[in-house]
Amino acid sequence: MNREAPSTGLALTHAAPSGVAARLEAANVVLFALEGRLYGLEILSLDEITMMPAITFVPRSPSFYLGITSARGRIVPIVDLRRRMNMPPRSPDKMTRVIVVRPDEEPVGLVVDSVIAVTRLDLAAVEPPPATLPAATGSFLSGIVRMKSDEIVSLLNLTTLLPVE
Amino acid sequence: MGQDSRSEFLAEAEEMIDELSRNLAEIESAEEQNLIKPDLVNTIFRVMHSLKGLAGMLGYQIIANLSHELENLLDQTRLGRLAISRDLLDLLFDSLDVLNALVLNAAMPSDNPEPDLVPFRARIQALLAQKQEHDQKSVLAQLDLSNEVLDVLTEYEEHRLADNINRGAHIAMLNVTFSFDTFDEDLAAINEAFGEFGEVITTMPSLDSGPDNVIQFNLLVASRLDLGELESRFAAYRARLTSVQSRSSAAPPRAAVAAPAERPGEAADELGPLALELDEGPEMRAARPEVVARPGWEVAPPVRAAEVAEPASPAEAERRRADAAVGKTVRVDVERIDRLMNSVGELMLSKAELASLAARFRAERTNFSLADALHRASRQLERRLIQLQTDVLGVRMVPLDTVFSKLHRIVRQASRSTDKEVDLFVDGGATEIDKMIVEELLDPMVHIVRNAVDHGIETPNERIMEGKSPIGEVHIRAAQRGNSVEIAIEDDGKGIDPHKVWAKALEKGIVAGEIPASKKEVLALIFQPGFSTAAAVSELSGRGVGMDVVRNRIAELNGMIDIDTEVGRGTRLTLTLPSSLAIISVLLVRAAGEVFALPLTNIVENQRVLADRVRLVEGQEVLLLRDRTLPLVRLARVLCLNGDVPGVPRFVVIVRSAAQWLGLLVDELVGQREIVIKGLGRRLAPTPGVAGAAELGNFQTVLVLDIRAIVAEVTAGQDSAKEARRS
Repeated sequence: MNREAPSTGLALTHAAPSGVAARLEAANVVLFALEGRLYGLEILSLDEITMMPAITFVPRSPSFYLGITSARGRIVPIVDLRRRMNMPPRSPDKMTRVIVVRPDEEPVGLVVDSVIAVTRLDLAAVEPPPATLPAATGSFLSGIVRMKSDEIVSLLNLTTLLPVE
Repeated sequence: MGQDSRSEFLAEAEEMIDELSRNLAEIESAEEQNLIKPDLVNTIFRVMHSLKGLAGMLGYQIIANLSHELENLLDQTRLGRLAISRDLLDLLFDSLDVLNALVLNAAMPSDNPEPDLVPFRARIQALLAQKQEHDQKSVLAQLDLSNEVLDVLTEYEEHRLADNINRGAHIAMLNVTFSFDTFDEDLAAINEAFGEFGEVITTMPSLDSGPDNVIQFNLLVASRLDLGELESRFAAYRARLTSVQSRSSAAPPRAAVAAPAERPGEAADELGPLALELDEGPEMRAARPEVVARPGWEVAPPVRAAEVAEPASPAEAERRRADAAVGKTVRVDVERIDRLMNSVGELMLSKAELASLAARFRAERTNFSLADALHRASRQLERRLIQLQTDVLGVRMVPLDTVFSKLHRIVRQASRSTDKEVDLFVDGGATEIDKMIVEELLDPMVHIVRNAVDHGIETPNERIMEGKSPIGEVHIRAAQRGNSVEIAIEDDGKGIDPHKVWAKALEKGIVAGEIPASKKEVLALIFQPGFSTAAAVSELSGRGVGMDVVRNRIAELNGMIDIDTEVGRGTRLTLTLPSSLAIISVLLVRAAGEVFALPLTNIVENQRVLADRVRLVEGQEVLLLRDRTLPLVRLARVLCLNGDVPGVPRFVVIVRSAAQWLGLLVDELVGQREIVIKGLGRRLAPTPGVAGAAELGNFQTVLVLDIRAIVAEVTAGQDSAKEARRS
């Protein structure tokens, strides 16, 4: 495995220098559910996890943005991760959470079905996403990990998921 | 050399050139009024010296060499070997442009050709060649000054002394006593006080020993007041301050009265307006009884600049404040201020949490006194946070003088190149505005002022024919109006003829038909992009760059521009700009169920929609508003919102961007608020028509609309529709 390449390593974020994650043996990852599947985000790229906030719609913004909210004195865009990943829509319920990530200096909230756990993942076990994935969704993954339970965790690539402009 | 130190150099050098420019303009006006302001020449000399040092230190040899030559020239001037002539002033003003160009080239290397310094250097040398050594010694010999004193005078001081004698000033030695703790301030205060009626030529510590905690000085002074009055001026303090041992002395042991004979009887006639100043004496004394009450040296300096040297006028006071503001500044990255603002915002939220805890605690009614104390503490925290927020916002504000001070040069250049005589008057330069706006404001202001001189003001001959004073006037007046700043630029020139404007617009195919009755509507054409091309306006304006550029810049700043003119009387342009980019007043409106904030600086008025004021023009709704007809659009439709209720919405908000008007139809007017506007971040920033967002409290966030973008979008659509119809 090429540890320098961010597409396969666990360097999920600009906030952590790309070399750092690659040097670590293991990383703490937040596991969350989306459409019955498991996804993961490295905990270093996280700001906070909140309940669904009041969201102000932003007309004429890209459709996967639900709108904006204010948190800690800043404006935080909220992304409907289902819509972003081309999944069917689903109304929020009491399990719905917003994971606020920092792909760079600007926080972004990701709406997920539910947050499952924080787990420690062996970085050596990260594999590239299957080549058969459609390009659109495949590029959103930085890699996949098979857990001991044989469940697959897809690690998100924030750079491609939340592009600037 | 790194980019950082380059831009640092640029910023510092530009500040110095600005300071030179301000002082030169003052010297010029002082010369015109035949006043002597030796300290101004000295200041320019000192600033030029600093510029030389800065450029030399950073290795900009060309700039260092040139400023060295100029410094030399200024040195000769301040020593009186060169008169302050028209040629000298012209050269110095031109030097600012040369230095500016050199500094810009040095800081941002570009393809711009280096200015040719050879002819410029020749002018410096030609002026230097005119210098005259004059015999100051013989003039000074008339004075009854001991060699001891004469020997310590510097060349500059000798010159000032001789110059004052030649101008008929009274020379005296003033002995004063100060506390050790405050003597530097006291000396400065006396120096400034003298600026009103003379000058302090030199300051020598006195050898006479007094009590331990005091220090005595002998001041060699020159004064337009005769000695009796000078003494009475300071005697007043002595009379009041006997306990502080200050004494003025017209004839101290080692000093004597100057050669010009004293003629006390004629003094009042000679003084003219100065007699008025003296009349203020008793009032000043009466106003300061507390001085008498204070015993000892520690608390009562005998003279305070602010009290003695009452500024001549409010404008003068304002200028001084502005000067002070310019003098002690720190450059801060705006991003740092934004971070501070964000921190304050987060503190506000923490405070809200604390307040809600306090409220819950009170509601529990278990421990009243503690709950009350907590409540009070949280209220106090709130007040202090609001103060903090105000202060942080204030950091972004700078006086408009930072822009206005540069305009003197522009007027000078423009009037010289057109052989006109124009005086620039500035009022309200202390009005503060967001730093970001100031930086963007210079270009449009330069443009407007240049236009006023080039095309508004007539030549002296034309003006005389018109029965006007041969000297034209351009007035700039700035004032704060709520959260906006209004800047009016007015000339007393020939004005703009609406009929000529209409004729040009017809010729350009911008309009068709009869001239509208409304003058404003016709004048608005001046801001049309198609109108102000060089060919179109050669008669009216003659400039290649048109008013549409100015309009665009003002629109980018979220401002508005108005024009008013009267043929033969002059033209006035009024700019209305937000005073702060961080905190703004907004009108909250509802459209298609969503609440939006519209910046108040862009809003002309709100109205209930009356069906009989709405007309259809080729399928487009327009609103009849007094003497205007403006396009109407539904806000919900502009923003592509679903849920737009059919039928005519109930309210119209009339907005403007620069000179373009538009009626926005909304369902409801929610209210007016002050908000701290925040960016949407890089991901959502490209959203058209949205300027940012703000928190309203209660976790409610509202979008702040970008009226400029909306107006541009909507009217661009109409323009292209017009195009389509035409073709």
